[in-house]
Amino acid sequence: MQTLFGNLEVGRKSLLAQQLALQVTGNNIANVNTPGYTRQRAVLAESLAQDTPAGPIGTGVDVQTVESVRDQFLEARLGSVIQDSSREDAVAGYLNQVQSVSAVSQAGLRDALSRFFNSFSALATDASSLPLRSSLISAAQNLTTTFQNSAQQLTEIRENADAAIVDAVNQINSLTARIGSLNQQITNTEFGGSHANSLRDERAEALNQLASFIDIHYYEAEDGTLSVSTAGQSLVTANFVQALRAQQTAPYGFSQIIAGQTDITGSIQGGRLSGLVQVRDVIVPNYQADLDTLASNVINQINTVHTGGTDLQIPPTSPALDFFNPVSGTAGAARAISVNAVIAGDARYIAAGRSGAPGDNANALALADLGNQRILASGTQTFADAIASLQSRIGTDAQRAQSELETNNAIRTQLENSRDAVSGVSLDEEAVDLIKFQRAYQASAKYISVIDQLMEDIVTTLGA
Amino acid sequence: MRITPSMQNRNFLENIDDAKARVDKAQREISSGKRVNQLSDDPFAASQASRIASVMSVNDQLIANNDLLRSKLELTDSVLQSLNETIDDAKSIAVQALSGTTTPESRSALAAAMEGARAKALSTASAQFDGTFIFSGTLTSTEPFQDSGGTVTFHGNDEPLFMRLDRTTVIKTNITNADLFAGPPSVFGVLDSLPAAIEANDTSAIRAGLSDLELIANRINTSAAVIGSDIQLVDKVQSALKSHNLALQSESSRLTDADLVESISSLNLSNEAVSVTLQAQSRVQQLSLIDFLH
Repeated sequence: MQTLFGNLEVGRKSLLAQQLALQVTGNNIANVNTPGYTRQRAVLAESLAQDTPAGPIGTGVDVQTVESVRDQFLEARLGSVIQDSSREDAVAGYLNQVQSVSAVSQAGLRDALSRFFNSFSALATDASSLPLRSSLISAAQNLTTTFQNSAQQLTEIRENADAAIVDAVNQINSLTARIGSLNQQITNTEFGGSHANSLRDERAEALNQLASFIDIHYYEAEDGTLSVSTAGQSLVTANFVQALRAQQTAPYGFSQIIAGQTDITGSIQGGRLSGLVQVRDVIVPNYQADLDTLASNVINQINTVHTGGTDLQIPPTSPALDFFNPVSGTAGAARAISVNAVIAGDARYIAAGRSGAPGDNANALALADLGNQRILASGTQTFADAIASLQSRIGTDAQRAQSELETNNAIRTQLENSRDAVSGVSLDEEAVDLIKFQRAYQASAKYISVIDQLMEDIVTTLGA
Repeated sequence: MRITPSMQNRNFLENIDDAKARVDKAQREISSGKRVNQLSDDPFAASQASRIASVMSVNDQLIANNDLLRSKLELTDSVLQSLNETIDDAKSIAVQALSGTTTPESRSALAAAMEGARAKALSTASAQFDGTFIFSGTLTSTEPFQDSGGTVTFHGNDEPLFMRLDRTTVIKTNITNADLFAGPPSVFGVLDSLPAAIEANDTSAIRAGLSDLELIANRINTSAAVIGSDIQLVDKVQSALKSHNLALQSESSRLTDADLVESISSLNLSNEAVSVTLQAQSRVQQLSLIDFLH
């Protein structure tokens, strides 16, 4: 049965629907710059049709729901590329420090080593000269200081990375706590069947931030809660959150990352945290090992030749003293290298000769020659080669991290653009919607005024 | 495809960052003159340049050593020269003593002259270079020849001194007692005995001494020839080392120096890119349907 009041109802519903759609449009425009915001859309549907003799006729419009427009697949890929680019960002940042700060990368260590061997060469011009002997001692001390500083600089970079790891663990814990509480709020909100759009946006944003710290796997359960895990360990299940712990361990006091009872430090594959762990536990320790090998070779090779010579003492010390204090093992040699204090205190202990005669320079020549001989890496490298190859390694690592960072950033931009193409707010589109819903609202208002006119006509005509 | 302001902003920022990074790189190249400013700019070139720097530093030290060595050899050469002159003087004194017209007075004067030649030879043989005695072998701080009661005794040793000229050449850098003085006939043995022989007019001893002086002069000449050829060798090695360093320097430049023309034109291009990107963005930002709604 059709009535004018029924028609008025059609107009009312339309006004309300267009108004709500305008509100959604306004909300979209308001959030055009909100990070992680997913554009929303009012889903309009025709109201339940009414049977009439002429067949079913609709009774206006209803707003079914307000939905977020998102592409789960793109979101997942974006999460994974965020992990990669954050990892390389961390690695590239620290390698930049290595190559810009360390004496290994700059000319410092190389020049110190050249100066040291050149001092033996200079001593050979006059083996009895005390000034030349003193300048050799000072070159040797310069070399040991440079080794020690280089080792110290690399250790400091590891310590910085370690501090950043502890910080990252705290950030991860605050993000997982937020996801856990959002899980709770989303289930509560959606229990009645509505969509918790803005809460989900917030959760997706937190998830992306989490992905920038650590590699995560996640899935959404039927009840709308998100379970997140890393390296086989659960971080968030519904509203239960398992916080990571950064636990200091011997010998360096560096922090291991513990989930529950499991040490997952070595199992983290992505995100800033994995880059930091890689820098602290793999990349820089490799450089330190190279530096230690170099230092221990300097110590052993020089000592072997030096103890085979004779010094200027009367009678000559037999056998001649170790030039450098011997170190036990290779590890830590760069930090420990030091000139024998007895020699440093009296340069006449330098064994420049082989006969005890003051002018005998045979051993000084042999020691200077060590600087040019391929005696490292199974007879393939000189000392200068060893430094150059360490530099080449640092440079190549830094270059690789830099170029992977650039590649990943390009992919990230591409994916973010693709996501925005689906989920981002387009002001042009919103402007069109604005016109569309404004016109519809105006038309509905006109329609109501027409129906009102009709009613007035009936009342006045029939009442007259 | 839907285009959103956030996409436009992101792309704009990325483009402007890229362009400014290129400007920055070109500026760094121009101000430092280097293409390779850190290892990662070109790890291969950087590590090659580092190797080259080490080799050049060794060469620089060798060049400095060789300069010093050349001075020592020149000094040795001039010492040999002056020794040769002293022996020449001794020879002419001996010839005068054999002339047959000598008187006891003139013989005594000749003996004194011969004594003088001996003293001069003795002081010449104690020549020092930079505080070290050049004829003492490896006992460089010991005066090699000392006069002990009319007889000259040797206090050095016969050890050779070696020096490395370059990576492949090592030479002996001293003339030893055995090479020159010891004989037989021994330089100071002859000079020690001649004054007495002249005083005593012992003509056969003087004649024997004269022929010994002849032999000694030959030995001095031989030693001088060795030193002369060593000096030539040092000069040859020096010029080789210097041209090696020049070659290394230019190789290092080739590896790490910026091509300034290229850097400057790249700076201009990148600056242009920045300004075009900025202009384009300001135009794009103006365009929105919102602006056309009334």
